[in-house]
Amino acid sequence: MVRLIDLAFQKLELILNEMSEEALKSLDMLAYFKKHHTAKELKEISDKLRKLKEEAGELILEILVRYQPMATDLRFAKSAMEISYDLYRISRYSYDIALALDEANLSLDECIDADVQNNIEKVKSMLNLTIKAMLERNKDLAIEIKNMDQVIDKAYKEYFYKALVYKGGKCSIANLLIMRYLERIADHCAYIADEILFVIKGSK
Amino acid sequence: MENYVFEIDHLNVWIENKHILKDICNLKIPKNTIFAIMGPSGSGKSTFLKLLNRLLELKKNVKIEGEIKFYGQDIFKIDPIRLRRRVGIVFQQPNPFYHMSIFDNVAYALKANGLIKNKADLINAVTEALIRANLYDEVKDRLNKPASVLSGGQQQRLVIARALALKPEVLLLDEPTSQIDVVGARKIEELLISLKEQITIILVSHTPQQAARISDYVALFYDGRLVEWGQSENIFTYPKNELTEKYVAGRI
Repeated sequence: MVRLIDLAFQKLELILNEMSEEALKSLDMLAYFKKHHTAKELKEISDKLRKLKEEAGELILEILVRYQPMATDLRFAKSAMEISYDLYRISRYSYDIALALDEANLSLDECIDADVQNNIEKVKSMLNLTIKAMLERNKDLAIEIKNMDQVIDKAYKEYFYKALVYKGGKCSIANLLIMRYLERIADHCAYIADEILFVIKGSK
Repeated sequence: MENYVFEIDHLNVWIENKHILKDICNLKIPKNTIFAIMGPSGSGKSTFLKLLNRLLELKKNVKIEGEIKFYGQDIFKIDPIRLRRRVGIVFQQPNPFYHMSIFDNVAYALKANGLIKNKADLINAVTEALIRANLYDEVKDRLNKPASVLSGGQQQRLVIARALALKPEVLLLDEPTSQIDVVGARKIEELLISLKEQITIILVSHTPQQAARISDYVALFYDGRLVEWGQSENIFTYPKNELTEKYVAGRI
């Protein structure tokens, strides 16, 4: 028999799935960055995710009040709140990258260097894995994502120290900013991984 | 040892040859907490509760094996009357003496136990018990009215006041809010939380939600067995046993 709370959770999962797809789309769009056009589209995605996050928040509040969930249900409700925020932040950082490039009047292919390009790909695959781990509630994938975050952190730190001594003009500033935003996106993937672990085993 | 009010081990109970409680092991009830016992109907919760102040022995054909210690002492070696004075009980259905006045309902418990010597002490003790039960303000102007004029929730608090008048160290409550409306139930829950500073409360609860709201520790009984017990926060967030998970999430 389907519990009433399951119907509400189905609705919540639909929202999270939509948010995941949009967050992924925002990172994909960065790879094909076309100056003003892309920044505008990314803003629209980010705004959409903010609204979906609010929708998810209201639904979770309703679930908590109406059904008083326990155990796995309670953990999922709590985690969904965090995950929806993380997905929104990922889209917002994608927009921030586009904005940084836009304001400097740059496109990615004009001055992006190999390290940054490499990190964009890594973070994209990390987000893909994060979404897969979330859908499958996969503990092993969640742990893998946390390990990937450490690699991205390290790459950013190395790039940062390299940039300190390199006088490369606005391209180097843009690259550093992108690396920083990618590092934050990776952090949010790791936070989602923490939430997945919490849902599965009750601790992060 | 004194941190635990009750310690239960290898407990088995049969009633008329039916095995009701099955090997309840290593269950410890900490002092000054609300300890909730939950489980579906027929899981042995009420039987377990009645054991703790030796009310179960009043039934015929009861066989008990195992250990129940009250502050380290075997309860079966304590005089049951003395034990019941220290371990009060409140049942599901409010059971005041309807024909008696509100005042006399509480006074009766004190008089019957020979605890009061004069009228002034009696008035003080009744007032104190009603205050402790969060009922005094609602009934102070009609103490001489019969208990039957009170609402269900007030009647249950009157029964709690009657139990508290004897200054028990432990209060056992068997689904005390199941027959009461939402407002009355909320007042009783608030009362129990305020009481745990002074006494230990062991509560059989009919809903996991109530246990989650007010208990510090919780145990799940299922088919006469103790499935799991521990701190409520852990049990309701991450139960270790699959059966507990299913029960609290409403999947069984």
